[in-house]
Amino acid sequence: MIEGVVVLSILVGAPIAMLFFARRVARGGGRVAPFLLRRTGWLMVTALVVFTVSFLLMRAVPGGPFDDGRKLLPQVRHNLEARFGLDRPMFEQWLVALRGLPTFDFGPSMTLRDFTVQEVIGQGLPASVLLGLTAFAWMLLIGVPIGVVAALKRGHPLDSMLSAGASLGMAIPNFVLAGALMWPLVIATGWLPAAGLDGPRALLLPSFCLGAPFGAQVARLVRTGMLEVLGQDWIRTARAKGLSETRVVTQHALRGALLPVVTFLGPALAGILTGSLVIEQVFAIPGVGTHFVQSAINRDYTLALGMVMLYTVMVYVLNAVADLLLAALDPRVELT
Amino acid sequence: MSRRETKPLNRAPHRTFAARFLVLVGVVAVLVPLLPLAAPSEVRLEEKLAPPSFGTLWRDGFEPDRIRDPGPLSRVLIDARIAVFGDGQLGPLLGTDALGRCLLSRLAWGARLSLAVGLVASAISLIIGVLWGAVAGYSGGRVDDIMMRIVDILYALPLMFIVIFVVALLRGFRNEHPELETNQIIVLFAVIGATSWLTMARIVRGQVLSLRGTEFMDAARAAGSTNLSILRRHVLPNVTPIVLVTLTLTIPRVMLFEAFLSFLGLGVEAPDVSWGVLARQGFDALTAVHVSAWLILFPGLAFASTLLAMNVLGDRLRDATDPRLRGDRR
Repeated sequence: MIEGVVVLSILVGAPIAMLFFARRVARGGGRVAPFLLRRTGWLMVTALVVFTVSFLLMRAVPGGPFDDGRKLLPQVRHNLEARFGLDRPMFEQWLVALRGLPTFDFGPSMTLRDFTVQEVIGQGLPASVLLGLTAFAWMLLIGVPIGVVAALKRGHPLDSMLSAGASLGMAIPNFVLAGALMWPLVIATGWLPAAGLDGPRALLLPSFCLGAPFGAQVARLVRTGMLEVLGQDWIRTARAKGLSETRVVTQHALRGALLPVVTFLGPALAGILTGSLVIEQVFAIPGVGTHFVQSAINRDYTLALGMVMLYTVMVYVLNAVADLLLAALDPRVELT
Repeated sequence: MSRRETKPLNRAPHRTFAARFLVLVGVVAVLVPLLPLAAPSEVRLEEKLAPPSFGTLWRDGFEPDRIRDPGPLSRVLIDARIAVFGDGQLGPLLGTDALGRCLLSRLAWGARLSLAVGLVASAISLIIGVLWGAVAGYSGGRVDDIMMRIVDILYALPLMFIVIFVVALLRGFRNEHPELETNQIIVLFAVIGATSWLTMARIVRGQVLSLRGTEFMDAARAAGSTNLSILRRHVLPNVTPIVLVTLTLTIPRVMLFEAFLSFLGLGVEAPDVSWGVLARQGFDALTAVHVSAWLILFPGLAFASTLLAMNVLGDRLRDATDPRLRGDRR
């Protein structure tokens, strides 16, 4: 409990100090350092707010982790509640849980016997991260070439075909895509494994299904961006200089055309994280996504809190990285 | 202006086709109870997992009682349907699911719910977003700062995950107390709508802000118009186009989210059907030993074609209202 008070004061004090400090550093002319300070400060504020709101929401919904249909003897229930500290005052519970926030050490899960929250995260996170990164790679691998080709072949039937495909890709829920691809590739032919995550072959289909819809959006952004850039004077200059068309496209035009894609990275990464909840269930991938939904349904207070905080921090950090990347590529963008 | 607006439309026949298709889907969704379809939850175990066929085009045996608490409009339509078709109904032309329920009928009833979720949730986000954005942009200064700061903070939160979290918590509570008749669909409307207004607020605020400096606004104020009447007569009509565009692009997003929640078992519940629920059931049928491809094919097709039409229409509206994005510039 004392440690909880310490964590609370850090979570309240540090952001104030950081935001204050960020202003001074910014006045000194720095760009990245104040950004990082500011974002870290806001991350702490966000984490504290999300933590408190989730904590209160969980307790506000009637029923608890031990109301799963079994009838417990009053004494058994009492002992269980005492073991997890559920019999103590709410404010004290909040402080005790807060202590674990910096390290995700929320104690043992209330429904998965013999697992702590840290262990569940530690076992599931690598698979989820791997899936997310591969999906991200698919997104760029599908989106950028299709967008470039469509823009270069503007008005050509190939352009219409690719653009229509991209619009269609945005309209298909990822699990329908998964079902549609699973039938020929897994069930009928057995080319790819249906579930699990043993080896790179097993990762192929899930990551494609997760990344492809975002690839479709990237393709549209790249196409629009390329059309915009190809009409600029400096592209004409590059051509007039006698550069080869490949060089003009890959080194001059593409760089400008990719900027809209970079602004889309934040939402795309958040979307990939959200979509992974479904894809992990579809392909039985042992990641953290399944626990996110299940722990909230079970009212597993500790694990659910850990999951909400994990995804909050991931979304926040990925957004910050995307903003940093955008500023690195486009000096006109203000880092806030 | 009108010449420029009509030109891109004429050149893109597939876009007017998209509009017609959406109207068709909408009309079907509204008039489902009038159509001679089987009741969506009519179980015929002897016909389970029947593939699509035109073997039985028409048969008797419609059971109006199997349609769970229809609203007043549906009741009138069902009565009309019985007056016209008697207890006749179309056979399972698109096949049946694992309980022998007619997929055609379930798709039609699912359209009703899926579109309703999309429209109602978008309408909620529209009301909150437009009011928030208009008030912030019109007031300006400190009020604007605070209101947009709140939007910024909400943007930074992983709202999707908080929504899933809340819905899952409530679902867990429901599972333990099935006797409580809480309507999950209304929860769904409210939660989705309450979290998707941020973009709308930003866009409206930007538009209103740029209107503030114009001369006709100064003139209106000089003529003695009240703030409310300026908002109503000058501001709102000017933001309508961009709001419409955002709305057409919000509806498909919301529908995808509903399907996503339904897939996780957090959205629409049996015996109600939505396209998300059907896709989930089709997916479950696919992983079974017996491959019933039609169960995922048709819901997937219905979903994808409707969303595609909405996206195409939204793009078209955007092109027509935003000259900067118009396609004929290169």
